[in-house]
Amino acid sequence: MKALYRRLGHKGLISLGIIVAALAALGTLPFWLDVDASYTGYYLFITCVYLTVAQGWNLIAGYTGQISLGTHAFFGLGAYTMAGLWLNGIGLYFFFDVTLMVVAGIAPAIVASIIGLLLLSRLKGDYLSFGTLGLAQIVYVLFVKGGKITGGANGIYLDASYFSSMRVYYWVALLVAVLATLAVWLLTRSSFGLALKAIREDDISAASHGVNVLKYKVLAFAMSAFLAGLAGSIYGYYLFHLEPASVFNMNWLFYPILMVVLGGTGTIIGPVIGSLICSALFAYGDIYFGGYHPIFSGFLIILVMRFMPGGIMGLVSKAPALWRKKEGAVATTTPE
Amino acid sequence: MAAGDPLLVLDKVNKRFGGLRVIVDLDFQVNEEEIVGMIGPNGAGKTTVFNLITSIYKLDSGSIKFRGREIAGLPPHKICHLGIARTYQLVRAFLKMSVHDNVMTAAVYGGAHELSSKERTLSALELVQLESKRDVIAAHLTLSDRRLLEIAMGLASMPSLILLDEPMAGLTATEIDNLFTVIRATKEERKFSILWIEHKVDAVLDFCDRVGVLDYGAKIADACPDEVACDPKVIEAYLGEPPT
Repeated sequence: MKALYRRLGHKGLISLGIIVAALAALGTLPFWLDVDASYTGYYLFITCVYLTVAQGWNLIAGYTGQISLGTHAFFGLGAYTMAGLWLNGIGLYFFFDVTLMVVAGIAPAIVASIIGLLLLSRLKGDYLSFGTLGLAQIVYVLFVKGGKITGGANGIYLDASYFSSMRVYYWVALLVAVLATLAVWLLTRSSFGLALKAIREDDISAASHGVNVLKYKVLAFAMSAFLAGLAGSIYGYYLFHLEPASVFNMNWLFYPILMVVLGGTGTIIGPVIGSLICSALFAYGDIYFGGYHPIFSGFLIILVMRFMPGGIMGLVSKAPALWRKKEGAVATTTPE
Repeated sequence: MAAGDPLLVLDKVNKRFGGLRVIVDLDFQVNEEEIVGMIGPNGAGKTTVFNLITSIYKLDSGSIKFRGREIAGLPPHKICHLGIARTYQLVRAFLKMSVHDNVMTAAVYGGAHELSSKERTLSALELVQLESKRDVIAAHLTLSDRRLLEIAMGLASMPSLILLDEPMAGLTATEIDNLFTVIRATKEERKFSILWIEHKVDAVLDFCDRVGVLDYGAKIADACPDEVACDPKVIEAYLGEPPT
């Protein structure tokens, strides 16, 4: 305990305590709340799916500064990879099979590496964003027009008799979201993270200080695609019926971005807060306002961009500086 | 590799932007442990030479050899790994990262070395006297500290040649003195070569072993500082043609 205190300090120990308590509460939730009867079960499940995608986007856009708009393609590819393997009898259990899910992440990661080598070496900024969006739309159309291989616009049907309870969905999605967050956190604190942040700040300068810029851009892009694909496979297990219009839906692109930006781009806790808030807004907005609810998410984007471009974590990190300013001192450091 | 052996050799280097010839048949050489200045009026192509050496621009013709090895066309990070570090005229440190992380990045990715990247980071920060500001975010540093930071980032990769692009620009007299002291002390300890672009001609003439003068992308003088200062072609490039 003493050694832990020395390593983490006062603040770190409190954060660790909060995280452990939150995880314990979330992990045991199905034992004291009926996740099948309560809407909260679905809400937390979908939040975790979004969070996994959001942390992936956070890695490539928030930490590496490469605004990719191809997330929905990787999400859909992950879902279809899982379903395709299942239908062809590859894997042991099919339903929440770890091998299937990992392959469902690796397939889009390979596609992302190929796309990345082509695009990330040539395009920057807005051009890169539109390039990735264009390629994502190509993937979408390929699946719609895929005929027998992809099931075309009608998609693929899986054996829905496997469904028994939301519990397993909830636990798997929670575990994956926690692991994704932990992985991104560890990556960005390692020397790998130094390269990503250096590229975000100034890629030419990073290159002249010895960073192989293309290599790290492609690696970050592939990892973000891996997380999107993994989340896609979980959602695929939930749908049982995969069609291009649902798993390649642009919502899988925009909602995670909104969550990251609202929470705080390039922070690890930001996407967690952002996804909890946003999916609550979407879910309950859908219940109370029906088809009109995207109006509110639209307004939310405008308000966040105008008044808090750093997101919620941006406000949190600014608070002490604002306080010091009031007292007349000059802030010398701010957290990222 | 003894002092005085050729380290960096530019041979008939040409670069044009569209119809404009910015570097014209440039021959230039930097030897081991030498401090070479490069001066010239605005737009003479000095920074372009740096961008060609560090492969940010591709040259049109000619060759650039470092320790006898052709480096033209290598990607920028490979050139860093071979032992060429640089600073930028408009500082390009990683502004949202701490001083320590800036230097650490350069140490980790600057190429393999017997000293660990931690040791190299600490020693670079000590050499430029920024240890006390190691946790400060680079964006909050003064201009002169940012220049020191960039020099520390360059030092962290243990280079054998440092390219300094107008390190004195925009600094006060005291800051310039301090920067000189730091560079002199560092050079004493590490024995690298320096290629130095500077606008402040007097500074370069005091400090350098040799000075090359560029005008419209061509070399018009290359000699010891005293000779260059008296060269009529150099005076003409700076002050215009004498009245006849």
